[in-house]
Amino acid sequence: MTFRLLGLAGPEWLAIVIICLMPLLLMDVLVAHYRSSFKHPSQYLPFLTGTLLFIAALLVVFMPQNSSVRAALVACGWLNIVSGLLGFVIHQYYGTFTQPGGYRLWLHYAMYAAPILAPLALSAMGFLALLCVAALRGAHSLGGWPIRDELLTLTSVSLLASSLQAGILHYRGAFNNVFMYVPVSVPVLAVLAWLWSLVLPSAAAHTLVVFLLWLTFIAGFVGLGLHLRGLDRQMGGLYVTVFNILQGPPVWAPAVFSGFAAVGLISLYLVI
Amino acid sequence: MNSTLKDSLGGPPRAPWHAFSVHFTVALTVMSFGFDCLAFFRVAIPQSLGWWLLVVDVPVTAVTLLTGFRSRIRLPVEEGAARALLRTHMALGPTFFGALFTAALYRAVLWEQGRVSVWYLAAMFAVVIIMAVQGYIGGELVYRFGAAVEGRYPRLPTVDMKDTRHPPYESVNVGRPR
Repeated sequence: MTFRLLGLAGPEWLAIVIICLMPLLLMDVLVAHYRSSFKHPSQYLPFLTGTLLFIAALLVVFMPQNSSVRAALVACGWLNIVSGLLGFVIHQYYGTFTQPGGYRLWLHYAMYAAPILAPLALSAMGFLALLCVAALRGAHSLGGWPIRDELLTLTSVSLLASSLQAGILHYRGAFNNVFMYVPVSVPVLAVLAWLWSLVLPSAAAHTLVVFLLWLTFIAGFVGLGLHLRGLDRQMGGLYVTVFNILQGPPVWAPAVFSGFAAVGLISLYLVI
Repeated sequence: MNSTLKDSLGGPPRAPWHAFSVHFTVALTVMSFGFDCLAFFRVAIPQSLGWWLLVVDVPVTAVTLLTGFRSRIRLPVEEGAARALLRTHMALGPTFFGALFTAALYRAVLWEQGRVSVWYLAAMFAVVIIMAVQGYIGGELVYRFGAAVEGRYPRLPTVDMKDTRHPPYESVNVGRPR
């Protein structure tokens, strides 16, 4: 059973999150892969799978009852799960394993080579698509687990992974601004509050989870503003826009926090 | 001979679109908040007026953000007080949009329930405060540093030339770096 907001049910809102988040993810992938000159053919893969998922999610919003469209979204979901896992392995292999020093210098390569956890965002989006379709079909569970719990677990794992990735990159940036601690604190607190609400369910725990998820949602927008500010603080600032977008903080990366916080909120409010 | 409007424009419109659109954002946000306050205290106005103003406000503010980025790219400012303020203005823009968007989602829920709550008004008050700070910085950029003010305007006769708190326009580098 799902509730509706502005005429749209929870699963349709999940599809909207995919529609909003996927182009932003792909823009950051484009910047990163362009910077490394697309030297490996697999660097084109996320654009193919991501675009297909975007189109399928768009169709689901307009034709939520069409079984072919739902099947397409499931297929694209699986494609993105595989694509993300493949990217994770490739980032490990070319980003650390084959580099001088290899895993003995893992922190160096985690900071300066291909971001180790970033491809898993694609897998998370793929899994979100599967859950979206399961909820659209009216199923209460997927793989024997309640959909709502799976959505909240996906939210928690994604937020923790994003916090870890942001932590590594902000550590590289020497946490030079106090706001750089926000992505490593607020989402983690949201996840801890959710765990607390699981162990000891109460109205206070639920309110705290909701409050922290909204804060994480806003933190994504704050991050966008501060990353723009960071770009302008690079040598030449926004007067050499393309160069500094390639070398500066990833502009759209904070959107991941807003996107997955939105998934958490949708599962709390709209999916039962 | 009096100049015509056509002479004054001097060609196709090339207004600073950010300054143009930002006033719609300010007006719509304040009016939405104001009408919701009135609705909360049961003044005889439509309960959903604040919601519909917010519905228009969100896309208009997205346009304000985009025009702001365009203005920023085109504005030559050297390192210093003006550039620092400009960076804060840039950082606060998406922050304000995020806060406004969140408030709009909250308001959507309340619109379906049919009545605003005191918590919503408190959240919206915070949004208005962020907007006021952002507006103050924007005002400083335009009226103190002459950002996006085209050409060198004539100095007003009442300006004290020795007033160092408000340096004359020429003392701020607004020349193109390239």
